[in-house]
Amino acid sequence: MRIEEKFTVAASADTVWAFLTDPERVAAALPGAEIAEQIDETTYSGGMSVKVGPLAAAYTGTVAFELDEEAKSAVVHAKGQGKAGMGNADMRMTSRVVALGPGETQVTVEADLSVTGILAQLGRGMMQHVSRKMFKEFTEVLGKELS
Amino acid sequence: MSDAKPRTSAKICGMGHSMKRKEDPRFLQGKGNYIDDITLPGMLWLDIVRSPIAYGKIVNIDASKALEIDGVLAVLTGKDLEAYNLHWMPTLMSDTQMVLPTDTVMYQSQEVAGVIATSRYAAADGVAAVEVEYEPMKPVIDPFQALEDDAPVLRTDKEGQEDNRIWHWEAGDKEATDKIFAEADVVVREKMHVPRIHVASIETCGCVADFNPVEGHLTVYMTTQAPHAIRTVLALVAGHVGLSEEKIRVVSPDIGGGFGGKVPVYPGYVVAIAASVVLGKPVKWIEDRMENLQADSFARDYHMDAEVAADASGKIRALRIKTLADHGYSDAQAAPSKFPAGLFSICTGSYNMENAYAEVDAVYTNKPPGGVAYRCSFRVTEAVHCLERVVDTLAHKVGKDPATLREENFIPKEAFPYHSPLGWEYDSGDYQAAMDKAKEMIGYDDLRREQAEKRARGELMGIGVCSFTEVLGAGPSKDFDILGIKMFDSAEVRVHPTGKAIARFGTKSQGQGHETTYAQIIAEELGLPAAHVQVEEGDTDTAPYGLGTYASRSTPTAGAAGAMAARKIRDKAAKIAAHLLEVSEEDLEWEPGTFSVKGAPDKSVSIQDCAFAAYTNLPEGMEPGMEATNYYDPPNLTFPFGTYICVVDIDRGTGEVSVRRFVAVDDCGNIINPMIVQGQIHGGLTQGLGPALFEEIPYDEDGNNLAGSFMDYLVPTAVETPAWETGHTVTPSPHHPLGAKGVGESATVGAPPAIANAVVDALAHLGVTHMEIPIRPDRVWEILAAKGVAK
Repeated sequence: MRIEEKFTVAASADTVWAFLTDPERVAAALPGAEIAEQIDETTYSGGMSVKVGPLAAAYTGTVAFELDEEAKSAVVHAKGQGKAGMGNADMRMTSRVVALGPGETQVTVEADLSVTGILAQLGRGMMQHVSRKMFKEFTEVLGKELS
Repeated sequence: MSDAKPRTSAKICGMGHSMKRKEDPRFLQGKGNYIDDITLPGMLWLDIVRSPIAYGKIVNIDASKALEIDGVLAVLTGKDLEAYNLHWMPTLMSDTQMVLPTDTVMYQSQEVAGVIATSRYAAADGVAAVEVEYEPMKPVIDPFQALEDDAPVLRTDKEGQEDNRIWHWEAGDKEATDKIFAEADVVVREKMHVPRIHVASIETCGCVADFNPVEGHLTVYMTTQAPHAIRTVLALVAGHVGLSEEKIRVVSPDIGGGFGGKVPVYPGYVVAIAASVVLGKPVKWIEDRMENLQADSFARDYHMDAEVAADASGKIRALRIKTLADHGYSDAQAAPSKFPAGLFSICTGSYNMENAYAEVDAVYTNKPPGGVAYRCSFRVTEAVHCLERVVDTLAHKVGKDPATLREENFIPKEAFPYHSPLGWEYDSGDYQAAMDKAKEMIGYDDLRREQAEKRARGELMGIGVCSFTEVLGAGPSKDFDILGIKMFDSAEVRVHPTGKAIARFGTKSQGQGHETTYAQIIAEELGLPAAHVQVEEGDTDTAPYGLGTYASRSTPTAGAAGAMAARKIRDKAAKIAAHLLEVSEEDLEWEPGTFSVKGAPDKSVSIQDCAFAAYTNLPEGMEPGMEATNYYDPPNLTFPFGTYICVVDIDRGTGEVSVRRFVAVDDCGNIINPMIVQGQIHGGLTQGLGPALFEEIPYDEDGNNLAGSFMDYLVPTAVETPAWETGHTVTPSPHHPLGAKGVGESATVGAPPAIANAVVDALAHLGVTHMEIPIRPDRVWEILAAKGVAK
């Protein structure tokens, strides 16, 4: 599944970039996400729980960051295994931070999400909607944190 | 050609009487005895951990949390079964299949571990608590990609397997066929997919395995269409752990629909048996609906590329079909050994042609194994859909009415027995008679006029025709076997002293009404009232050996065996009658139920009198008793046929297709019970409507099954189903003892192309020559939008 999102934040590009590249702060802003520990310089272990309609899935796994400071572009690769036979999820997300003005920054996100198991089977009609809602909540927190 | 009056009275109720089904009182009162009704003392439950991913390595299975749950007794994995070499099993097509994996999962919903508990609830809780760690791999989902050079080889467990090909099958003279195509006036071609579907029977699969450790005896109550074959397979694969055939009893109780889906052996059965052997207690396993839809054998999934060569007038000269068959992880079909592509070579159908060539390549993909013959006698649905669609394309191309083009190409009735270019000997047929009757019933010419008027007004109405030939009743032992066991079938008839009888058969009804039909066959031959004949099937301890019920084979094989056994009894009864009447056997006349003396009709004895005498007053030297057994090896298959005509209207706003009328004229030879035959056709037509308009199991690129529940797998309900109009002609089979042919699957085979042809016919003036099934509203609407006629 392909996810494409674009949002603007009332903060400078450097501030937004600093936030988005801090795994702890991102996890705190993303509903259901948590970082457990740092495995190496770019990889963290953690968990993610999501609710898609009547289905609740909890994943544990790793998230790896690949940062291009120059271009303010981040590739995040998260993969997790669902609890209770819920299947696996794998997401490769590229975020770009572009300054629109001194106090206004645009963030574009493109992600390829692959989900297996019952969530993909029964939840696929709702997943776009759920991901959009999660982004909206995330940007609200982001806006509050940075303003 | 017309219906003969029944030979027997309504009291005897032999052939031709619409006797009410003897099994229905118990079904209608909820008194049936299905697998899930069976509860044994001390019984445990099995539930199965299934793979959420389509392809990947199993890194670890952690059962510790499951085993902490109250009531959970054991968790069985592939490693546990490996210790007994029971972690794999052969399929009926001599391929191999995992029972439980030791290291790799090959398709979504594959069985990974079994949880045994004291209740179904505890077992389910245990399943959720088993933690399986997978290392997912990129699955191969598209069968065409599976054949590409860079595709990973999926079956690395099979020695010498270097690609994803399973087998190549072909029939016919390729060179002669190609030559006709090269010189033909007209060649038409359609590529089509008959997609993966599921039998979706009301009852899911399940079993109760009961191993008695003291006696070393195993009883398995099981949802199976072929109990004897299952017993033999169990003895062959588990002989090394002490299960020998005399100590295995397979009982198939009432079955809530089989349709081919209950022929294969699924891993769940084997795990339940293994668990019962290990724990020494009865173990029940019942699938839930999603397990049934996702893991059990699918049907169809043939990608066909069909061409017809004809002369300028539309006279068919040759047929050429190239097919790719997606079998999923394993070739787990249940077809006869020599027929890897089933009876696909029936694809020349009802039409006389010079030559034909058909080929099928089977491939492995990361999908559940299969495919079963869903109510279609082994790939006949695919063959008929392909031919009947491309014949319509030819009619369109040469500008002829599709009914007329068919009539001009029919095998004439004088040509029977007819030898088809692909090697079949059709027993009998009169295709024009069925066509005439169907056209008359539906008012074909008036419909064409109505269509022309509507088309002028911009309304979309279509008329679809299908004139199919089926091939049913496998089969003659020279060609037909399953794992080497010949496909005869059997009957054992015993008449008690008071003239009542019990008849046992090697087949197994799953709703077909055998208890009634078989009783009527005995009644026809012996003159005993059908109400007095008790029919039993499904218990390997009591029933004679037979290969079971599928491929519409019950009447052609076991039904024939019943007639032959009854005739043996009648021969003995004649000797007794002669003894009782003190005349010679030649002086006797037989009317169903009564022997009388020629010229002295008042001197007579009944069959009941003869039965009593068989135990009380025998001619000197005669063996007492009145029973007979027959193992019937049919000399040929039976070839029922029919013409179906369908009228559809298409909503230009939504693309929805509604079937306004559907006339089905079937010819299945002599009819035993007209009501049951009509019921079979109604059910079959509905199961043909499903795949034509609704049913399909698609997969996404990750191998997720996208129709794994009844939310997404749409079976037709009474709302979508039109009022079927049925009729029949009678062309008896010359080789069947009763002149009967199979019929159970004709309608499933004939309905989809009739509906698809009607939809294409409605859109033909827009340049449409083909629609893939299922013909969903979105598919139609896209065409309407592209052609600028959507509202």
